[in-house]
Amino acid sequence: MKNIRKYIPISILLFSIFIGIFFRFYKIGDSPVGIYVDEASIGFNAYSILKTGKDEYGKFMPVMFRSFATFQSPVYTYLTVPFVYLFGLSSFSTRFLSALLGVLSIPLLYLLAKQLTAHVIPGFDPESRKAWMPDQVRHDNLSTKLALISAFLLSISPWHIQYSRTAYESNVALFFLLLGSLLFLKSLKKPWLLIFSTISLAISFNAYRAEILIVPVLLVVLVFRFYKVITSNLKLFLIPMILSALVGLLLIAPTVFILRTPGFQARTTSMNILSPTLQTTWGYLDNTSRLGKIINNPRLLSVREFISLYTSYFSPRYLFSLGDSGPRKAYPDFGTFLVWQFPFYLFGLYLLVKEKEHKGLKTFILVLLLVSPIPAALTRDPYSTLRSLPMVIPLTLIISFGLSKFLDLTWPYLNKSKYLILILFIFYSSVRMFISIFYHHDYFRSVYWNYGWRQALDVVPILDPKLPVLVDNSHGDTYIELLFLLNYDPVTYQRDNFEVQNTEYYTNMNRNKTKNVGRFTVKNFQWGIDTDHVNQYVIADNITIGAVQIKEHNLSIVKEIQFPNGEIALRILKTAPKK
Amino acid sequence: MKNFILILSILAFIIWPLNFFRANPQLNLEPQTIFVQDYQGRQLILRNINLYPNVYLARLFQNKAVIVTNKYFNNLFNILDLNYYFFGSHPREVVGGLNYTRLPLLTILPILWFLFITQHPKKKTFLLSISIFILIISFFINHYVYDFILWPFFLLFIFYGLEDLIKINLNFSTIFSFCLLIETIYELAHLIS
Repeated sequence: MKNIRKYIPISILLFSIFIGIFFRFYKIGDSPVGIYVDEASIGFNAYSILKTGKDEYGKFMPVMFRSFATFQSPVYTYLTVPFVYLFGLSSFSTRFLSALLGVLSIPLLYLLAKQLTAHVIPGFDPESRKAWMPDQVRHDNLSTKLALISAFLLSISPWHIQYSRTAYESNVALFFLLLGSLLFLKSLKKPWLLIFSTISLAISFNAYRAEILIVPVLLVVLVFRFYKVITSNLKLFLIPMILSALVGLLLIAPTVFILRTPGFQARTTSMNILSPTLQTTWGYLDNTSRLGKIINNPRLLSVREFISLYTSYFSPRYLFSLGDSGPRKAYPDFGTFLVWQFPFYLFGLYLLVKEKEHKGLKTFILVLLLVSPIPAALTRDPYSTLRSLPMVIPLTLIISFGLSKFLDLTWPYLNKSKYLILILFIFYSSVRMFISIFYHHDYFRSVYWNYGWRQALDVVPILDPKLPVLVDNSHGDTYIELLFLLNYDPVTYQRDNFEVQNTEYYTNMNRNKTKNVGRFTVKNFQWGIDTDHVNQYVIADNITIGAVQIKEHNLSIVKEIQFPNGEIALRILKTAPKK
Repeated sequence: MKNFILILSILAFIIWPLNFFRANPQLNLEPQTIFVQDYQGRQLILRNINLYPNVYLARLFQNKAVIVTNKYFNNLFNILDLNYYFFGSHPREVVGGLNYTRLPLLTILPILWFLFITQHPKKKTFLLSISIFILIISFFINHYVYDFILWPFFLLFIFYGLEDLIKINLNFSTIFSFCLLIETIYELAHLIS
């Protein structure tokens, strides 16, 4: 019996990883249906780097990818190159990295939680390096339980699954943030690991914009927290620290150099609540009196809006009920956490304040919890789960903390039905999520995942090859869908489409509004010019070309592509020019 | 000092009733519970049922009880949302009956201080009572009409929180109380305009 018990923790961890693999890899290429333009951009640019060493605009190894002049962080794209090489350019290969790092985050959180809750045997100074030596550290019952529960809750976290199944940079940044933190803690025993910790944190810094703020703050707090451990063994730490600083500066230098370029700042400025606004500040009242000048003070209103946005990241309403309002960023009928976790969230928060032990865990949770929403709260979107993704870790740890303490308190009083209750919870949550991810999300949200382009391109080979095809671009950068789905030759594309000189890559925000992709011309569709004078095919959505207009302009429908819910996604039409 | 913090607590508190009557000029106290017939909710359930791989799963996850429990949890989470009290819901979010500030933002400090730090002999009674009220109010769709029941509790939380803060650090508490006074005046100016 004792032998069997020894294997229970590892079995639970393996089970969590298995669940994690299932929810992150199952049908990853097909669900979400379609591929969003940002994902297509990452995939095609990785393909272009693989084939030519340059991105779609012809820039050799860019520090940030220009990508629709929004400037994407480079790490995801570069790390995707090997998967594109192995599996070819597809939704699967583009999303593979995110899913892989999502799965790896599960054991990583387990190790991190264990490391953070490691007890120091009484009699040793907890601040000295000796206290962190393996034989002086023990993992108590709570430590293992907390680590296992955290790993399991992360494996079924709707928030984490959402970003592990899609090609978003923030998930990659989160993985390296976790890895860097774990290596930092490990480096207290083995100082040379500090270099690897720095490399990991520097990758995280470069991987997503929110981490530009989060990583330095976390690093400062960790160094401050273990200041005594480091200074008491300065001889051992000195060389690794100097090397780490050099490596870290070297790795973040390219990003730092372009921080002030218009390219880097374009998106930040347009989203920032503190920048001069195009819309009225939240809370503005129509009042021209002297009182109005005070109550409508833009700085006061902006600060008020920031605090309101910031507190929304702790709101149980968003966390357990509403979730992200962005249709690509949440599963239908799901908050960011499962409803039954709410009492444990409250209990965990209470324990976090009250508990005197586990200072390392508390520091880590508090820093990530308080800092992660800041970059997100500086943007206009209320409750952006994408920008605040690192919060999933402290919140999962808080819920796990509450749950493990609850189990400690109630376990002896529960009979064998406790296992049944646990299994029912797991089963209910998992099945509900399975339905939401693989049925409801694809049915209700396909429109937001650019569904239909793959199906439309399947029809193209049967069209008259002599006629050109116009693809409407008025509702997003559809050219990237074509490049991605056709596995279009990057060399040909770079030759046929010029946007800016390499020297102006980060500074010139002008965009080329017409793209040439083989027989396809991608531009904004215009009535009359594109319908009445040219004999061609047109591919457009139902908003651009409605049923009434088809009749008015004498267009003939070649093929209609439908969303899974039966609504029209795209139409392939043939013009009939007036003679 | 005790009188000052009492006056300050009440002053900070005036905002709630003033804003409440301004936001709800035609007050309708008729209770609307989560158990009322919901045609739209049923239609949604019927639509969703068709999207399940089999009828057993559909019955498990889409039934009449789901309509009620969803409403209950929505209300509960609304009432437990900090923004509900300090900002009248979230930026640019228009929610009928909820869009008014109930408390000045700075009162969050004495409230949280009382909830997490203060050792008060009646703290458990207060917390148990307010929890029961919150759980009951969540049964009402128009809970924003009844959340007035929570009003005296918050007043006590602010009062005892401030009192405790003063005991610990008088200088900080004096500066804080002054800031709270200014913010309260600012919020009242919002009301008058």
